Amino acid sequence: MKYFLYQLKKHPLAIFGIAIIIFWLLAALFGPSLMQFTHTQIDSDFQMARPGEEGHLLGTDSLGRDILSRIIYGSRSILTVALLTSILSTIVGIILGFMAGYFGGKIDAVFLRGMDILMAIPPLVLSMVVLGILGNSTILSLTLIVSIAFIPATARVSRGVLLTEKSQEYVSAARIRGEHHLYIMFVEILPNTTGPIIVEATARFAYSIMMVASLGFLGVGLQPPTPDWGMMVIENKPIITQAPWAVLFPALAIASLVIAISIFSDFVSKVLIHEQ
Amino acid sequence: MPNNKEKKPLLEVVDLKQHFPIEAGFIFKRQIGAVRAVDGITFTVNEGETLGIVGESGCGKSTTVRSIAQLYKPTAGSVIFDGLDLVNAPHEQMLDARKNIQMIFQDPYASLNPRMTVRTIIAEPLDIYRRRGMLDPSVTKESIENRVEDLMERVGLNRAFKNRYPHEFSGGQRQRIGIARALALNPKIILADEPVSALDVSIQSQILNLLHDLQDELGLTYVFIAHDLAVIEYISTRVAVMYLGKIMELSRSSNLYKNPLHPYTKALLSAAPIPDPVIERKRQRIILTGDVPSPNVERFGCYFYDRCPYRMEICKNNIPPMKRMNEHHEVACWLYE
Repeated sequence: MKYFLYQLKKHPLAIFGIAIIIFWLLAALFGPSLMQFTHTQIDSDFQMARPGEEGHLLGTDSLGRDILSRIIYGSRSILTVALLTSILSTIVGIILGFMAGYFGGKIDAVFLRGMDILMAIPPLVLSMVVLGILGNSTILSLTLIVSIAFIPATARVSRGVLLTEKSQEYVSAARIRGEHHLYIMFVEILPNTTGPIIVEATARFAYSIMMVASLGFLGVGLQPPTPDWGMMVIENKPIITQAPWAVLFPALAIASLVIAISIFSDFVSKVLIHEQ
Repeated sequence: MPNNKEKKPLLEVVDLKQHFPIEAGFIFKRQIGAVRAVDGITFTVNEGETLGIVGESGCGKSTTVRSIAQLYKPTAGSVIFDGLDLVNAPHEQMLDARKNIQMIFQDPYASLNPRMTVRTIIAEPLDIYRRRGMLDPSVTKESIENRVEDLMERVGLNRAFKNRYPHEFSGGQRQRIGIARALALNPKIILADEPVSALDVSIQSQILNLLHDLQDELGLTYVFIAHDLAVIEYISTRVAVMYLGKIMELSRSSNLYKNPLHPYTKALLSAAPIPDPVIERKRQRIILTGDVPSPNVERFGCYFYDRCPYRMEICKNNIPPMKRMNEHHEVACWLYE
C-alpha cells in the first residue's frame, strides 16, 4: 500500500484518472438518490431546456427528461456490465489459457484455432448479431456476450504468461514432488502471473465500457426506459442542432470514463510489470 | 574421501534413451526427426556414493537426470530405483519413489517460487505428502514447522529468516534453501543438476562442503552434474564422461584424472587450466577440430568419430561397446579392444 502511494506520487496523471473513476463509482452508488429529478420523469414544460435552466443542471432532452439524472442513473448499468465483463472474461480466459498452455500439444492446437475463429469476427459485430437475434438485452445477456467476445484476448495473454513461467525450475520442482496439475497451475504459477493478467483485466474494463456504449448507440444495448449512455447519444441525435447538450454530455461521460480507466490501466502496468 | 562401504546398487539406468520429436506440418503434425538428447546410456549408482556426470553443454547431462526423475517420459530403456522400474511404475508406487528421489536445480533464482516464503517452499514437499497420508501419522502441522526450522539450521540458514521471500537472499543462500527443500522428505538419492555452476567460486566451495557433510551425515547418494572438472573431482566417487548423449568413459574418480583412456576424456582434461604458471606453461593441449555434431541424426559408428584424432576404419560403422578395463574403469572406444 505504501509502495502504491509512493508510485502514485510519481505519476500525477494516475491520480486524475483514479479520481474520475472514484467519482463515477460514487455517482453510480449514491447519485440517483441525490437527484432532484428521476431519470424517467418528464418535465413537459421544459423540453430541451438549456443547462442550468429550472434546476436542470445539464439541461433536458426532447421529452423534457433531465440529462444529469439520466447520465448518473446510466452509470449504474454501464459500470456493472463493464466490471462484470472484465472479471468474467479474465477468469474464463485464465482457465482456458492455462489449460491450453500447460497441457500443450493437441489441446493447445485446438484452443489456438478456436480462438483464431472467434477473433476473426470483430467483437462488436459478434455482439451485435447475437444481441440482435436474442432481442431485449438485459444486463446478464450483455455481460455474457461481451465477455465471450473478449475471451480470446484474455486467454491468449494468460497462455503467454503461463508459458514463460512453465519453463521455470520451480515448476519442475513441483512436478518432481508429483503435485497435481491444478495445484501447479493455480497455486505455483498463477501468483507469478498476476501483473500482466491484472493489466489486461483493467484494459478490458475500458474496452467493455466502449463496447457497451457502442452497442447502446447501435440500438442493441439495454432497452428503454433504462438510460444507457450510448443510447442517449443516438436518441438525441435528431435534436443536435437545437439542443447540443443532450448529445454532448452523455458522450463526455463515456469519454471521461474510458480515458480515466485507460490512464489507470497504464499506471497499473507501469507499477506491476516494470517493478520486476 | 569417497566412502564406498556398501556396494548395493540403488539406481540402475539401463539403455536409457530420451529423444525429443521434431515436428512439422500445419494442422496434422508429423514427426520429421528427433533430437537424440540421450541415446542409450547404462550405469548404476551405488548406495552412499556420488556419481559425477561431466560433459560439455548439450551433451545430455541434464536430460539424463530429468529422465531419471521422470520429468520426461523416456523414449526407451528403464530406470530402476530400489527395485522399482520408474518408467512403468503405477501411480501409487511412483509417488512413494518420488519421496526418495529429490532434485537440486542449477538456477537458484528460477528454482524457488518468488511468491512463496522460505517456510512454504521448504514445507511444500512435507505438506503434500502429509495430505496424501504417506508420511508418518505423528507428523503434524507443528512438527512440520519444527522440521523446517531444523532443516534451515542444518543447511546454514538462520531460522529467523523463515518468513522471508527468495528475492531477499543471495545466490548461495537460495541454493541452501533449495537443498533444504530437497532434504525435507529424507530422500535416499539427490539428483543435483549443476547445483554450483551459477554461483561464485567462493560460494561454490561452501555449497560443495555442505553437500559433502550432508552425505556423510545422512548417508545420501548423489548423482551430481557439473561441467567443471575440479568440482567433479572433489565431490565424486565415480565419474561418467558424456558426449552427444552417450557415455564415453566411466571410472573411479581418481583413476579417471590420473589415467584417462578415451580420446575425448583426454581432450577434455587437457582443456582445464592448471593454477600453477610453471606447469601451466608446459601443459600439452589436445585441440579437437570441428564442432559438436548435430544430435538430430542417427549414428551407426562411434559418436566421437568426426572429431577423434585416433579414428580408425572400424570406428566409422560400429558403435564401440562399454569395455571393462579393470574393476573400476570402463571405456567405450575401439582403441582398447
